[in-house]
Amino acid sequence: MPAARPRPNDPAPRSPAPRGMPRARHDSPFAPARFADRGVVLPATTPAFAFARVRDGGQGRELVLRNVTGSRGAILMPLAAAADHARPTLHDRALFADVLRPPRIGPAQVAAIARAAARSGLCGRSALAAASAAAAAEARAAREMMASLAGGGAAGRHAGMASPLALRLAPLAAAARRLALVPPQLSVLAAMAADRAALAPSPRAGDAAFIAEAARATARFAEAALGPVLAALDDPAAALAAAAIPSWPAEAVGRAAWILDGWPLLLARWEEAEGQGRAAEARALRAIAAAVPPLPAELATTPEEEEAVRATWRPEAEAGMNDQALLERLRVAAP
Amino acid sequence: MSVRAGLDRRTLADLTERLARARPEAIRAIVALIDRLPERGEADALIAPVRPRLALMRDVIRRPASFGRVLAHPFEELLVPPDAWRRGSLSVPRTAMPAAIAIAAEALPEAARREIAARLADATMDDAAAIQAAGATLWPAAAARFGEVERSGLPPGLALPMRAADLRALLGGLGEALKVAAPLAAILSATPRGAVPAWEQVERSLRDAAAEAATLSPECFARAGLILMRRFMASGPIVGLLREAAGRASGGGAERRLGAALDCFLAELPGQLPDAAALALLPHQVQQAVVSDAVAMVERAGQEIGTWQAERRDNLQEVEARMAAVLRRRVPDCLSAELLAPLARLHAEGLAADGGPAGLEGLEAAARAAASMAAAARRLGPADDLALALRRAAETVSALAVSAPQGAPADRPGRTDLARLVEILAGPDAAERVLAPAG
Repeated sequence: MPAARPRPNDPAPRSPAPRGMPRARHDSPFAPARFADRGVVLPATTPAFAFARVRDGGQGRELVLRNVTGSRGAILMPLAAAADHARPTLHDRALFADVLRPPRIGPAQVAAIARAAARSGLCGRSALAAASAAAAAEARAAREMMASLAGGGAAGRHAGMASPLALRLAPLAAAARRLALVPPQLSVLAAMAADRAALAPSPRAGDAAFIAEAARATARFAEAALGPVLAALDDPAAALAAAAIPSWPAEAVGRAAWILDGWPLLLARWEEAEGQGRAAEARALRAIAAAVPPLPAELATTPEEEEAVRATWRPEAEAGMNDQALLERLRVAAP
Repeated sequence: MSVRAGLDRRTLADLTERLARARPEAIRAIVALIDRLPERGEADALIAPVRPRLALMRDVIRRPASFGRVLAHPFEELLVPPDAWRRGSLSVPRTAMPAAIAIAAEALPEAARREIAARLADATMDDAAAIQAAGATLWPAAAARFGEVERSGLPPGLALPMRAADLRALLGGLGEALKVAAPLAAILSATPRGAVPAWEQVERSLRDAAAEAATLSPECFARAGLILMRRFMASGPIVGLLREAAGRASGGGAERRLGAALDCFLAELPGQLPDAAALALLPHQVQQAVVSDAVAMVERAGQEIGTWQAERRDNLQEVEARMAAVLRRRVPDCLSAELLAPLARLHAEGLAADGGPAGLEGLEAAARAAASMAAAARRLGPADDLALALRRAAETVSALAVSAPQGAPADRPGRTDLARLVEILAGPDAAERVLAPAG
């Protein structure tokens, strides 16, 4: 066995964490320390950019893609140069151009941009119809929330000052209710995936088990973030009183949006495949497992939470091995 | 003890004829109906002409588990339509199955038969655990009995679908294949049809099964080899893997019989490929998937044979030419009849003419299928004519854009809709020119 050659560019840490348990590293997109390091999932339609994430990093606004080989590492590229990597679809050209614009990028900005792109018709007629319907439903929910807050405010002590507070609270409350729909779906997905993982020995069982764990952990964090907000909203007067604190509930709702970011796309991917035969389901599970959005270490405050966060970090194909190392090992093994 | 289905010849012929042209949903409903009959009798004949399509739709249709299907599960890949079978082939004509099922059923004691029936009630063929459990009793008993039948003759009173000697030989072959039924069934259940499984995920189990078959007997190895070739040819170097296993077995028998299996695979490959008429009746997405899997299989077979025996290449070239001819018929048809003609109508009469905006999505599916099939044809050889057909279609669509309204209005195909079609046919750069015409 020849001596290992020095690898100056090896990004793997000197003493790697135990297999399948990578350590959170600043700016690592797959075991991130902060949400901002992970980035926001883009609903791109170009296969090469499927489930790509966008973040502000060393190269400005950059695109994060999982390494195509499935080995350790990621592909990072400036968003403006995405077309050099693969030819984007019409929809993605519009999407990327818009994502470059806002000064800060988060789930809310990306959602608005994605909806505008879908409503342009570039993603097809059913996406157009769905985006329009979703926009209408959101507007309706905000109006209803406004009405309920106004009613609660009038009955309570805050009748006089309800308006500005209610105006700020209503869309956030509607967003909280909307986000609260996702964790139950995640639990269903987790149950389905666990069910598939338990089925006869299948090479995909690992994917399914990982998805089940990650979906469960994500749902738990999202519920924890949204729970107090939803409880307060049951009593409009109390909600208005609580909203006197400027960061409430914007902070909690924003955190939930980050936690759940990307999952609606994955849920849709599963819905498309479910019941379409095991081949289609296996393909979907594989795609979903590769795209599960990792939760950042910043979310965890207790050892249990830390473990839950790690459950969303996909074990790498070969822990501690990058493409170069893999090639070298193959060269050694080859006769 | 066949129950009369109560259909006269004319009704049966008429139904068969209509079924042959039915849409996939109708076929799915009818197959489900027939599958629920306790005695299929003549109703079985209804399915016979659509069997090739059923095979193409196997990802869509879940069939309930039954005694016969569990028996056939490990060697299903060996079954071929009766007119495609030639004496001496390792394959088995489907017509031999009723006799095989009857003999296998007789080989089991009544209690075991009842237990299997109870286990399979309400299960589908997707339920790997139920199949393995039922098979654990059924397969070894059937393997032993088939071997006996081959040596000592058929039981009396059996309706013979072919010459007794042929049937005995076929049953003997099935008995050999059933010797490795459990590992084969496990592999086949874990890698559903309709998708090409990744090689690294099946390699180990394939290697184990091939090694086991090679130690049992050359005949068993040949059949297991043919089954695995048919299912995994598109995945990776299956022939190389089988050769290795044969090389490790004692004596040259396994290696020689593997050659026979490969010849059999090549000779019967045309029958496994879709034809243009059958393709045209499938949903566009399924057409696309079927064609790309078939082409992947042909390509892979070319690589595998290249490493072994050059004479077999001629055989393969015939297959390639046949597949290319199928695509040469299907792609232009798909473009003109399923994309451009309906698009022209929508353009002239508005979206209300064809089910609203959903009509446009149907056109996109057709365009996608045509583009993907043309790409598949390119992998088989030069396909400039198909590329040209795609480009012409894209130009026709672009020409419509000149008189189309901006965006995606509710009542008519807009410029964005047409740009999407051009994107599918000719790529995003051409489509961008439709959205923002120069000047």
